[in-house]
Amino acid sequence: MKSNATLFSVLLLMLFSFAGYAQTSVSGIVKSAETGEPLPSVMVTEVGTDNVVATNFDGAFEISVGSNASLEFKVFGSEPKTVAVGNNDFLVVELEVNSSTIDEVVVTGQGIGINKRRISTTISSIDAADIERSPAVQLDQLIQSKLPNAQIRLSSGQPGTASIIRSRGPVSALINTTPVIFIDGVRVDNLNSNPELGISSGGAQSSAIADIPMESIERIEYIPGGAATTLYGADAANGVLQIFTKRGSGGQNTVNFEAQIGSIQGTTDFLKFDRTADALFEPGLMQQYRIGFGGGTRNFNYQFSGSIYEDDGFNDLNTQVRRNLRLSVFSQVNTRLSYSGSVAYSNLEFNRDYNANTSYARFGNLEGGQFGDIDAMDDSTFNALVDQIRLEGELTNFTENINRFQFSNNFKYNITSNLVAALDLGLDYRNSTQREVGTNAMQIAKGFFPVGTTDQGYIIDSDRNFAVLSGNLNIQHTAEAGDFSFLTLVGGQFFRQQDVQQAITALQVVDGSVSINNSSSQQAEDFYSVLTSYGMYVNENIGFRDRFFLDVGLRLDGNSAFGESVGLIPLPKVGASYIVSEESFWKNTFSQSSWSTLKLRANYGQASVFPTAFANLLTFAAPAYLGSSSFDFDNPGDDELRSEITSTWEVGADVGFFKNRVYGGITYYNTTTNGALFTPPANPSSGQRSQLQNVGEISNKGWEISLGAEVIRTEKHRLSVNASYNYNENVVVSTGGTPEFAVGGFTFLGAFVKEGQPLGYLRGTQGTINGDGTVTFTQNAFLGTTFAPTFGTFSMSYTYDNKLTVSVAGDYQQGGQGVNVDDVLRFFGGVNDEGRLPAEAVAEAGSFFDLAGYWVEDANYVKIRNISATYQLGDLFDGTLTRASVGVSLINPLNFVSSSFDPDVTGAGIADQGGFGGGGFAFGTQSAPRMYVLTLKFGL
Amino acid sequence: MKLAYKSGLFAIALALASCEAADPFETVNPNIGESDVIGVANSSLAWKAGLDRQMAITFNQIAVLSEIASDNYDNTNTFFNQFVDDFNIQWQDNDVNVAHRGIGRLREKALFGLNEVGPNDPAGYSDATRAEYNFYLGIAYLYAGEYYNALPQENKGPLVSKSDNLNAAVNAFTAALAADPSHVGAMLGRARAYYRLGDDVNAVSDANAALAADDDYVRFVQFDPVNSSGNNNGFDYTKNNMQLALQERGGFDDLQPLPTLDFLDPKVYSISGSQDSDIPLLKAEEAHLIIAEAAIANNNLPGAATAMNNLLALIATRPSNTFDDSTEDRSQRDPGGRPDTSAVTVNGRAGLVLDRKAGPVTVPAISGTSADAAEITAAVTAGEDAMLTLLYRMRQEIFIAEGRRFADIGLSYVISEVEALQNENIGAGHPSTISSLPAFLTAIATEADEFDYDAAAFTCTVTHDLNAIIVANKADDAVCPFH
Repeated sequence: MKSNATLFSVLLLMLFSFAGYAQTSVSGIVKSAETGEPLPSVMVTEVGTDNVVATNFDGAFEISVGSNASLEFKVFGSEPKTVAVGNNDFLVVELEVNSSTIDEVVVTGQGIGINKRRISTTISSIDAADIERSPAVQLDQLIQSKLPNAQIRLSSGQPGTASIIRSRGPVSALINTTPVIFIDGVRVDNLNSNPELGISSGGAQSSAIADIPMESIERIEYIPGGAATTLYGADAANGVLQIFTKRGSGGQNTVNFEAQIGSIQGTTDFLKFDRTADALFEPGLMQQYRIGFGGGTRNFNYQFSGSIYEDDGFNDLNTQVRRNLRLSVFSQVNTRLSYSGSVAYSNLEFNRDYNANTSYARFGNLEGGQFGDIDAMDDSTFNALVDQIRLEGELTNFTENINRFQFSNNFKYNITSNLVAALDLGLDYRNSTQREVGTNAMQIAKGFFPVGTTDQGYIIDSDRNFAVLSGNLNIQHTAEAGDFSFLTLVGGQFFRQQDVQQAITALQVVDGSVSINNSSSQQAEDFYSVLTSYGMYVNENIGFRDRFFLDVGLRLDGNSAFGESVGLIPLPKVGASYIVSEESFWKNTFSQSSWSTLKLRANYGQASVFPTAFANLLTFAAPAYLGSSSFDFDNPGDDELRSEITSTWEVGADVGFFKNRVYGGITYYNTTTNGALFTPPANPSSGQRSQLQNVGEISNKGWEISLGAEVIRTEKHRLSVNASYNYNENVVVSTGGTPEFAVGGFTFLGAFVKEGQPLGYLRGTQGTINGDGTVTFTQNAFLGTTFAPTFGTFSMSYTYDNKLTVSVAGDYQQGGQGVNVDDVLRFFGGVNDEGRLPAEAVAEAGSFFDLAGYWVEDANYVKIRNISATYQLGDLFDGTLTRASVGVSLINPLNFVSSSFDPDVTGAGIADQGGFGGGGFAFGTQSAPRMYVLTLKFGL
Repeated sequence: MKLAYKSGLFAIALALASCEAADPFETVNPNIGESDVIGVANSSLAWKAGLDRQMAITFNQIAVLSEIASDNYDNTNTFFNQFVDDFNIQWQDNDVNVAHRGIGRLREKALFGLNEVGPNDPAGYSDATRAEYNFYLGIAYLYAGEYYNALPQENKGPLVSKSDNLNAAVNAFTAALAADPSHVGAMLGRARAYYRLGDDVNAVSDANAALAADDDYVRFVQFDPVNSSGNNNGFDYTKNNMQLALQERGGFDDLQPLPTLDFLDPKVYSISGSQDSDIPLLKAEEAHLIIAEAAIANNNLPGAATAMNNLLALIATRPSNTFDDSTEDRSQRDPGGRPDTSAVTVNGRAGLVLDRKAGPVTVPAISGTSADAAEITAAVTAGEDAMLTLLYRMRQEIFIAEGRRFADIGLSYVISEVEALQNENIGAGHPSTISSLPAFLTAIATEADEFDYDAAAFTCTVTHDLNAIIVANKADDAVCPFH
């Protein structure tokens, strides 16, 4: 605590000191050397200082510089260039295209940009142009198929739901594979599961990722878990996703409008019965309007963006409305101190149908054969069924409303020309309210209670209030001595997150009431979790001749969820990178037009996942029982509880050929999670609940390969292609002697954790037909793994005359399995898939439990997620409208799958707050819809 | 510059002060700890309420599984356990583990009450409370003895035999009676423990004492649907799980009763959104059944007939529930697959099947039977086996949906994998982890709840009369304790 206070005070001290020196103002414009188009977002840096500005939409910049200054111009995708200012007050700078990613400036974590060449870890990023072109309204949709080393599987077509995001395999059985998310250096809520007290609605689990404020995003960086995330400490073992928002640039006032209109249609690719679509699907209208403006002066500028989105879903029930806004300001307070801050608000309102794991589920009941083979029904029976289904839809009342505020403050203070301090401080506050109104009428319509029932109405109201306050303060020192350069970083970081939830269940609610007041009894429950994480870190990056770099760092990680006897946990990292292609011997051997770039890199680092708050304590409970309070044993407690530590070593290389027109990277990683946090079942003779313990060991190894090429690069035509291949091998090395335990699924077929098997492997009875026609049923057999070992992305982009851009993006997976739970239900109704179950097995099976293995299928897929075309119209109506463009997008247009279900959707979702989620159970869940979107953009 | 310096000092002071005022590292634990429970006034009463609640949870965890395992109910297509329906009892079956956990938790909570909470309650520790702690301890040991051939009595402890667990139950009920001599539940519980031990003298003595104390005694397991959370084999599921399994359509098609028992189903039903049915834990009927079975074993058939007629008289006074059960189907997915009309005769007997779609049904709430005085008279004439068969049919009918049939037909759970692997006294492959059922059960494992039904002729014949099979094997240790 004390050290943090001291650091903070030092910073404040610096804020209040003043200094000044002679300045002149330089402005200019940056263009592409090839096309002459202005280049936005170019970083313009006064060499030898930390004085930096960015170009605006029109490629214009303005910067105040000292005497005899030189300016360095850098932007991803172009060769950096340094220009002496001399006596000029206006510069026109042209940048050459360069596909090499070696010199990309990345932020990586501690708030201050660093040249990628200095670091030994991998970072993938999505740039402004990609983000501009995407019609996605949700973060997971935006990043899907754009990050070469991460996989995003949309787990439901229902609004507000979660995706399963993963990269280097599941490193933990405690939490899911969702990365930590920062916006402008400020940690935000990334709960990618149903809240503790959330309403399940039968499996469509809400996600905080669905409503991350999406305005003004300029850049997204993703770093996989390992040495790259060591300095983040806490729970960064799954990687870190960083979002950077636009900052206004001085001297130019801009206004932008954007309108999108589109059609949403339910995908029929995975339906068992054609008529399911007839009964439920209705094409919906989506529309979105956005306005943005920015301006100000060099020393003070602002950017505002706001949007409203609405759709009425692909079925008869869903609707959703999103409202988003963000205001950012930048102020050069004085010559040394700059401040930028942003405030964002997002609102999401939607209603949802019942899904999968409840008999209320309309889609699940139709597809699960509850009504038999509806395709074979006569028309009048089917029409009556449709009326019934529509009535159930009308009576369904399940809504969620989310309000979210996010603040970020970034201070930068140049103490001297080579010593800079940065402070990021901010807050994310998210309130979500779920409400399910279960009227008697609805339950009668669904056949649960006889006509005339009046005492079964209920309302469930679930509120979650989440706030995370985070801060990061560091000082970076740069120095050069001969061939050596030094980058020293010292800092401290903390976050405190508080999660307060309340759920009220009102019973015997009178039909017509949406208030819990009109009920005979109410039950309330709350959930409170507060956790503080803090850490101090040092990092030294030493460069030799700007081509060999050594990176050493250490973080001391503390957490209020650690057991009493656990203090600070040290997390070390070390890495090296070597740009071989800049050695003269290389240049003498290979020309730029053959093998242009080779960077070798290797590193080792640790990251962690902290335990659940209060899981270390021995606690009791006093739940209500029949009107009185009743004591109960609660958590057994563990004084030794601490973070699980993931140690990763990796080696890799980045290469470029033919002037870097063909480029790629390859990485091998090997991650071991020690002291893995398992909750093995308590032995029943203890009568105790299970205790979270550091008993496991999990291994993840694999390859990450990405390749890109500019196949065509002429004045008129540009064609680039990108693809990635990732292979992950996951195995539970040890469960510390504890028996295997379930982390998801059903009794007949579950996802389990067992020594020697992948995390969450599918376990159930496997039937084998013997030579003599008898069947051997092996109980608790390995039936598959839900995390496909192989996955990757691919994309293609073609630009004609800098006006027309056509792009295609998709992803694939191979080697994983999933369970067709819908067909288990169809089996009960005698309308199961033909040919799935061997007659011998059915005859000999004691029950459907014995047939479990036959419902497991390979879940390989290739999916085209997005096809889009954008045409730049330029200025219209004598310049009344500027930068006009028109675009069309097809979202989720094509699916090629090996399974009879959608491998993306996982009806079982992630039900436990923050808990492990492997998916793999296809169960009465509607897939993400197909969308056709028209976009019109222009500026004033 | 000077101003800046002063401002800096001020900032330091402010920073330090604000840190003290709003320390972001302070976290408050919302839960209660040991010191909030032990040594707190009236905690012994709240601990007793906790045991009542635990009884409901433990019952949920054992009774539904045991009803499915027995011939009472067929699990045609619910996600409740499907293995045990065919007497397939496996050490890796999580439900078998959960059943053991329910017993372990009830025992540990009873012991914690006796050893820690009760004696330290500054507001006093009443004899009645002590009796209840001992009563629940007795139930925990009784369940251990009834459902398992051997079960540890402490965390990771050595295996304790069925008879030692039953003797521990006897001791606990004795302690309950020492604290509260009027505790009829403890009398019936001890009678039941002696019954399972085959000790007819003590069993009959306790049965008579119980009837003398309260001749229509019932102690219910009470459920609280309002304050329930989690799933139905979780730690906090206080809804009536049996009701969910038998009647509420939420679990797909419900468990289906043996056609001979249709008129007794569902014993429990959803009273309202905020009220579930109670289920008897111990009731006076059991005393009559013990007395009758002891008389049969001692070849005193007239004496047995008297006890059974007394039992009929008691059953006649028991209440019934009348409610709309029209949403329940007899095999909705396979219409005509099961008897669903009162026109059906089952095993030649009429009146065993209810019409559920034609208005409200009336089902006994505590106990019901199809037997009558004439059948008892006829059985006396027919001899010992006929009497014993009739008695077991009555036991089956009277105890339906109470989880009791499991032990009556000689079934037994095994030690779960979770216990075996963590308990040094057991380990993988230990005999206690492998199901060993009497041969007469394994012979009919997949057919115990099978029947032939001719929907057109309205006749139904249950394939095996398990009561007759029990009686034919009455000398087997697994069944008929007095024989």
